[in-house]
Amino acid sequence: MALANLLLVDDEVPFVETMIKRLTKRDLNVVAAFSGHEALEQLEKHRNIEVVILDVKMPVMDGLETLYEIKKKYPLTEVIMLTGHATIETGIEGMKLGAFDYLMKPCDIGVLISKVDEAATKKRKHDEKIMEARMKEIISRRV
Amino acid sequence: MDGRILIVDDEKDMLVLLKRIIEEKTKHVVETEYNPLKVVELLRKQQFDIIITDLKMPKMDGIAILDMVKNIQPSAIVVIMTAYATIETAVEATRKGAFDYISKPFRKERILITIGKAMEWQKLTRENITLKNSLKQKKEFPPIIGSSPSIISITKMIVQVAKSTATILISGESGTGKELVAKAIHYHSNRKNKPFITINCTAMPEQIIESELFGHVKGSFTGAWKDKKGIVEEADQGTLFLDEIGDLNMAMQAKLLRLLQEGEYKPVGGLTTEKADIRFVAATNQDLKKLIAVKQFREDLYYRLNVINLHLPPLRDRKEDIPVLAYHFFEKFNLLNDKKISGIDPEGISALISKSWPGNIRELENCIERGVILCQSDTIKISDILPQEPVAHTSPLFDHKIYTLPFKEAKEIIVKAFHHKYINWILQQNNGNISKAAQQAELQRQYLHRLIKEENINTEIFK
Repeated sequence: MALANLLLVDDEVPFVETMIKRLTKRDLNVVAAFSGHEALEQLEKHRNIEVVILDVKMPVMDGLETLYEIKKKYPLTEVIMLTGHATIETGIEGMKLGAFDYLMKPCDIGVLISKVDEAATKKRKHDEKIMEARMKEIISRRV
Repeated sequence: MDGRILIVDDEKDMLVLLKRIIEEKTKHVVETEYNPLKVVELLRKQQFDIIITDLKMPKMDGIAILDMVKNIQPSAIVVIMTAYATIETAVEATRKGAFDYISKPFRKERILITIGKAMEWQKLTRENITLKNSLKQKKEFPPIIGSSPSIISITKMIVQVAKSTATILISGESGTGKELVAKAIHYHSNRKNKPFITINCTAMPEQIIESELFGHVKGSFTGAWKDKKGIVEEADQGTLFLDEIGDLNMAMQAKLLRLLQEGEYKPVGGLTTEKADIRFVAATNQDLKKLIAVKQFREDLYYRLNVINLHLPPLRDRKEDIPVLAYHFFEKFNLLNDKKISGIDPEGISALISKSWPGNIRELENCIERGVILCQSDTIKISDILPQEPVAHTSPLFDHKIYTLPFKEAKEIIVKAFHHKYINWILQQNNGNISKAAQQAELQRQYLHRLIKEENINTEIFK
């Protein structure tokens, strides 16, 4: 079982290519998207994606807009914002929109992987809680 | 909503300024503190709605204050302000649950807008908690009520059989109180301080029932990312109540039989056999012997379950219990709805006794709840509890009484009437077959089942 199923979204092709190699080597299952729209398409296609690494500054549909759309359609998918152009406002906005974390480029690969692992674990626990809540109607427990 | 606000800042001028801005423009009560070390004391003594704290202070910073508030008063909202804003602290504060992060200097409108939003959030959160509590109260389970010979004999039987370890099969129509009897058995047994777990076998999706019951080991199927304890392990030394046992599939029946016979089971994907000490109580409203005849229920499992049989009579066969049950539900809903109704008039009681109650006690309970809600005088009248059965031209929409109720209550009654009528119709069309009815209505089977239960519809009458 891979460490996590990941979607990497960035408009810089060489960055994405390098990252895919580095992340795959570390036992992550990675798919890529080069724009916000493509990210949404990939999420629709690969329903098992647990974590998205999302660039903030992208043409047409920027990272915050993409994050908003992702959280609207897939609220349980965790999103890590990764950017070279951080501002306090985008940081706060990203976190308020439900990002798991906000990291700055260049980011140490070890730090990134440990964040992905934390985010995937959070998502799995969340999924489990939802399943438990659904099961509550079927199974009731009293001590 | 007027609230209490605490402002923490080591700059006394800032405290004075903020307090003045807030008190000039709002009715909130504002307290200030310049020593962050004293905040813990204040939080223990008083409840605040909002805490506005500076980030950089000597001895204790704003993030530490935020952590403390989340520990001591988790419902309070924290706003962080700072003259040294960085992306790291902004992200950290927001992640830890700060409601807002304001860079100094700020315009006074900025802080007032944040306070307004925070108070609105508090109001919604409180409403949510109140609603959850009232739901919880509604779900509390009532005692066994009645003085008819059949109920007295069942009560005696419960006390007699509870102490044994024998498996019990409770039979009876839908709404006769099978789960209540199962709970009573548990609470009269030596296992009363151990778990009582109910599984509704009808509503349980077939694909997950085995892993829910027996647990699974990591990697045994997609999505099994860690070991999971099953219900059987959880119920060890307690009681497991298998409701609607007649709907359990054949494969699961075999596994359940092994558990009943040997006290053993295997988690999904597991290599070792586990042991469990469980008291089993099962219930059904179906004729299991008929299911055995058509090979839908294992005969050996039936005999294992049916060591002691408790049959619950339908309400129509214990009419003498109707007044006492009606008064029990009346008191419950009078209290829950905060009404001051004095009772049910004698004509109403007679009408309740003469009705046949196909949905049994659950139907009677719903009927009394409706009566309490609709009652406009000091006693519940026959028209409040037993309105004319809905026929084509009578709908709650045409009942003028509905328009005197608050919108939410009126909507609930109309939606309920729609559910009732729609489900009855769809079940009739499909001869009481829930799966087929769900397919035709384009509903999930489990959801339709829940609606049927809520509406107290006896599917048997359509078969």
